[in-house]
Amino acid sequence: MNNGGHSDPVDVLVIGSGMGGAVATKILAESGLSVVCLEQGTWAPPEDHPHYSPDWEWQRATNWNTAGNIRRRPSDYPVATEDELTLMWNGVGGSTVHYTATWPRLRPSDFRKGIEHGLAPNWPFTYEDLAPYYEVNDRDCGVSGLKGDPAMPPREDYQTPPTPHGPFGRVAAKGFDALGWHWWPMDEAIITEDYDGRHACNNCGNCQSGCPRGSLADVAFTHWPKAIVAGAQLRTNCRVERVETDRAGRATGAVYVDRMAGTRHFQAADIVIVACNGIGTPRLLLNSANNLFPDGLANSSDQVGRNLMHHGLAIVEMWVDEVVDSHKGITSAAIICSEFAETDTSRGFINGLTLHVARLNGAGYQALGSHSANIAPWGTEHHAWFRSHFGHGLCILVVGEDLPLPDNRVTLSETLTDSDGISAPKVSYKLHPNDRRLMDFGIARAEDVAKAIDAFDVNVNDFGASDGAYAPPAWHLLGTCRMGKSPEDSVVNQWLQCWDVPNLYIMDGSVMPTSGAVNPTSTIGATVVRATAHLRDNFADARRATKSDLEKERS
Amino acid sequence: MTGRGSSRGSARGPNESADTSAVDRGERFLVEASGTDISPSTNVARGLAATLEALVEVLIPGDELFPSALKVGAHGLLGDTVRKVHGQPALDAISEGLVTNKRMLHQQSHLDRVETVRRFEREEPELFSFIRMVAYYSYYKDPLVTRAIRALGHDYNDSPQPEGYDMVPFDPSVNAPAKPRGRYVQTAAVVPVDPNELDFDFGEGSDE
Repeated sequence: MNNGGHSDPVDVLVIGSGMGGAVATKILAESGLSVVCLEQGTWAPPEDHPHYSPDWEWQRATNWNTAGNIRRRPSDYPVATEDELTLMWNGVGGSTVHYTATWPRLRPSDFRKGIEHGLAPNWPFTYEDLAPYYEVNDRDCGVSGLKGDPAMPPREDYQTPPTPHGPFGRVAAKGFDALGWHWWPMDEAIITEDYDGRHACNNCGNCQSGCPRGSLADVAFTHWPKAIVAGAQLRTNCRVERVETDRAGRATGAVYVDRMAGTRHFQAADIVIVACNGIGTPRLLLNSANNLFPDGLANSSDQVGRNLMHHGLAIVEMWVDEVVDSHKGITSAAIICSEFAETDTSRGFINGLTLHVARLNGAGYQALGSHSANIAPWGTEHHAWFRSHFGHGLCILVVGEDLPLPDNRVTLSETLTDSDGISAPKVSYKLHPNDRRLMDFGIARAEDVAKAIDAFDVNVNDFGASDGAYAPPAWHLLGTCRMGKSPEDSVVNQWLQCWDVPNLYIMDGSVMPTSGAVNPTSTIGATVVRATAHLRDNFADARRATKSDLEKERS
Repeated sequence: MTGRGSSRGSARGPNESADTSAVDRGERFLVEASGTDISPSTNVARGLAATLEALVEVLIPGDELFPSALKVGAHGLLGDTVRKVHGQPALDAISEGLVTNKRMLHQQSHLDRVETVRRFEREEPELFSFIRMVAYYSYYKDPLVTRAIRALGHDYNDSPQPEGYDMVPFDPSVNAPAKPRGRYVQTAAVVPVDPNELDFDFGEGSDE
């Protein structure tokens, strides 16, 4: 490959343009710092989304599939695993391009699992420390919801009212009320009224192929335009090969491949931020091993790549006599039930779970069994099945906290590489028996709801593979560069600064020490807002920081 | 292709000519797929085309409201997609796997066709699943099918955008819990539980 040479040094190099990278770039660029972001993919302009085409469901299953291993776009890299189907989007916006923008916050106890049971660490800060940054990030993203949930701490106003519930919401609420359980409209980073120059959601029902209207908080809409106006440089189709360090062990920048030109470049920076999420970040750090860091960058604790968490996931689908318009409105959950979110060992396990009530997508997807393989029979019974099921279904996602286990990890494949010859990540993931029991409990509770709403058909997807193992879709990629209070057992400190490489930061889901029992993106965003604000306010010190400075961070 | 051809024609708009029919589109694809020199393989291609036609007709037959998968041309997309994803050998496997008593699928009686497809489903489960997926997606994207869905009373668009769907906005007096329930444990109130009370092996050590 040709050497394309060096670019002018910048204050900050950001690797990855998803939630973490976008938030960090926007804040730092708006403060006047020079920031370059390298993104291995490119933009997904509205006209490229499948929403305007009759074959939108086919595209959703193929070239817009949430799993890179199925989608196989040129910007994707392979993930070597038989344990899961990893969700990720490799392009501007990262996985916010095709997530559901389900936006609940962690609970105060989620930050205190070290105290609660000791099988996972405490976070190095509390819910109260993070709460103001949740609000900042919500304002930047635009969040719909309803104040007053007694199952969560008080919060500031939402940007827009909750998403429409329709008959679907009334049916689900009837079930929870009959059981006497908590339920509340789900927080969603999907605006229901025009906000911040973006259009309100028009309930099209295809959130997971991205949102070409910009109603859903894809950071390509919410953050990148502002970051670019502030002077940030976003270089697309630029795949980072390795982060380089000097003899003192400080990051000097990154070597990357311009995928369009076929040239290799070096971008120098005073501060390097890695924001490639729970698979991509450990992959890059491990691929950046050198003489000074033979086990991978920032890995003296041997925690890089370990403690991978996805959440336990099961989907219980149910069909009722009423028409509930399963294809209309946001794809993801309109309602959350937090009745079982806190640890109660009398249930036979530690940690908790939440139940999310969601819809079932379009006609083709529903005929193919929606999320639970309740497939319309072929042959003469097909249309009768379709008449009774289409528009009559809803699903409950059982989202359980999974324990951070050291053997659930990302390593490097010895055989598989991406199209630029860079070693692919290898992923190993199993559920702990505690988490399996937790999920079984959650599935049973979802089945209780099905009975309470008089569902005539119920189907369960526990993501069991043919060999009986749990093989999840792996929507959430967390924990593989955990933050903590000590370089002995964590990769970054509370400001997401690597203990081993003081001018290297990690700003994505990989820093989360625990997963909670809810979708993580609002917490990733808030954590990055908090850390980046600290970096911005202490930039002069940060660019000169040494390992001994970080020792002061130890408690 | 007599009865199917006439019903297909009647189901389409008056301005659509016969050569744009779904069956013809499927046949054209299959001929193209066989290469530029079509003459040696014409019989094979036509046999495969007829097999795919019969297959989708078995998978999703029509009724008084819904058109059949054959009528909407699902077999053309099926052949196209199987070839693109799995290659010509998969098409050959379909064609050969659906032979019963030396008769290709389209040469069999209706009852035999159903039994043959059922056997194929058992013997080639992964390929059959793929076929069903492609057939169903191909079917439900067709405007004739979305029109039938609307005739059932559902508000269903041909594609999600640009129209989206009108929905009644969230109304707290209707859509919020009448009796809010729930609780959370505050930061200072988090207290230790003993995981050793549970019958798991949590391994050595802890994180606190």
